[in-house]
Amino acid sequence: MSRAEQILRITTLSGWLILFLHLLATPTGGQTQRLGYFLNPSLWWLIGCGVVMTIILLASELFSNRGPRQGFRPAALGQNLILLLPLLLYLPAQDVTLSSASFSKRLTGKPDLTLLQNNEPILQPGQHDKNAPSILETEKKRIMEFPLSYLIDNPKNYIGKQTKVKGMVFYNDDLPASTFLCIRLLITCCLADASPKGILINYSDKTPPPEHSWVVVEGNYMAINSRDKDFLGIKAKSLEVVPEPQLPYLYR
Amino acid sequence: MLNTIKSHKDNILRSGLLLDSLFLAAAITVLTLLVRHDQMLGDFSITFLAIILEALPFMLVGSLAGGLIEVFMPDGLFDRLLKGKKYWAIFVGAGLGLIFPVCECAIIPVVRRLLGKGVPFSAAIAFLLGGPIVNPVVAASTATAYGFDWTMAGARLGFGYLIAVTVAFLMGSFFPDKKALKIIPLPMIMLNDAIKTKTSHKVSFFHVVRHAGDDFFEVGKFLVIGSFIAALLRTTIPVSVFETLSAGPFTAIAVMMTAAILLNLCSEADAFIAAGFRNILPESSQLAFMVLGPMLDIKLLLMYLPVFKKKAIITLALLTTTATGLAMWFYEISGVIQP
Repeated sequence: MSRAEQILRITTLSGWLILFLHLLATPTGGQTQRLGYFLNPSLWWLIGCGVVMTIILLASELFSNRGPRQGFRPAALGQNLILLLPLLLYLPAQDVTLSSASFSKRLTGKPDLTLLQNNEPILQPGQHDKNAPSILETEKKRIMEFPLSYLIDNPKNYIGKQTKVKGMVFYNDDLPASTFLCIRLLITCCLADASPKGILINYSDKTPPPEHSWVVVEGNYMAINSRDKDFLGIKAKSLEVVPEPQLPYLYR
Repeated sequence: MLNTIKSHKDNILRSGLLLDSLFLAAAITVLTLLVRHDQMLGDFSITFLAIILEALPFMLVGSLAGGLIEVFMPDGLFDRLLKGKKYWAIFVGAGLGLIFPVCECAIIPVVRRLLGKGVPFSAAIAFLLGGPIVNPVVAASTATAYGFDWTMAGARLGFGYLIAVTVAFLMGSFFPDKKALKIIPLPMIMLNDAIKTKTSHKVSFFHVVRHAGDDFFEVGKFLVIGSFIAALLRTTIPVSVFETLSAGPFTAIAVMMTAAILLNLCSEADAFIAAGFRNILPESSQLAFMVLGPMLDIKLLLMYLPVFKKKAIITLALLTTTATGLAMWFYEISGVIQP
């Protein structure tokens, strides 16, 4: 390997090491690592593996003897430039979140709402499963304001309970009157798999918020009938338009 | 012989250089076009980075595993162990992920080194296709996505295993004597010979890491190219397009197989996307998405390039797609496993 190729490799590996370390850092005043912009933060160990591996590869490039020097391979330049491309894109994209247009692109015609099975009786307001985590408990465990993933898994446990949710506003012609969709993106592993999860909000006599604005809604969970199916919804007691949160995603 | 290998290596380097240049030119053009649409550039950049950040550490660990195989596994071991048991090796290879759970990004450097160590080509193909599906992590994630209904997870693993075995048998008969493989470049062979002599642990460690580094730089660029294309498609094509195109169950299977190839999702996460289509598309099409994705997508097709010849990659892609399509068609018409 030529000296130039070795320098290129060291540059590429150093760049990746810095990126991995930067992702694991928590910005000043932030609640979670920068990693949350791209991956589920519970996958911090994956980036940790990346750190360990790049350090090992760097050590190998710096300290191992690769035998007699050879001429520079032009292919090495292409390889390294391609591997450096993500690092170049990271600089302007590190604090960027998915746009509302991207939210829309990920929505299917029939959005993935929290469906309450029609063939099962919906619990009366106030009733809930004793084993289900309380809203207060779950809020402490989540990094976001709203434990939507718990709702998706156990919708009936929450009927009648008072709640406060935050999400992006979407309107749809199929929705019942005075109703909008409050959507958050739920990440399982990485942003590429982020899928919109929503809850219907019945705003009745309140002023409808603009589409794609972020709102905080306070109210009680209720069953809302749409397209002949019962979905979990919220009857809004108060509705406030707020700025987009710093990290707008939910994580499974 | 040496001249043949050198000329083949030159061809590989030339075609690699051409691909690199073409990709870099295309990437600059795409980014220049996206700069005009500020929102889209942001969406594309973070999606691209997210795919890379999830896959790259797995690939690095896979490269290290490949390096360990290269240095510590004696040459000819598999030849001796699997002599006369080629077909059994296929059945074992397709299910090996149950013991060694690997994702599709980590498996390529491992398979590459296993092939170099004498593992039969068909058995390596079985592991390559089956490993990322037939494993406990994927079973658990699929069951979770489908509300702990293990029927869908069982169907996914079962069909994944069957398709891996079938395609491996066919690939083995179409490409006997490893004719599908690219010749390993010279420096690796020389390095390997040098290691056969008694060396210290420190030297062995550096050899392992050096192999891992070579794999990272050679396979890593294909991961970047594949992720770039995947992110571009994810940013520009709305999910509702797939829904609109899926008029009947068989069209839905074809459309969801196309989506699996285009979206390049990780096998641990794709079940959650498939489950999002539960009340919209038939189960056979959701299963098609989950079975084909870990075996074949744009990123993987590009990552196969340093290991297999183009003809073999095209055959592998056609066989895997056809086998998955037929299996899902059978699932749809027979309704054998209805969760």
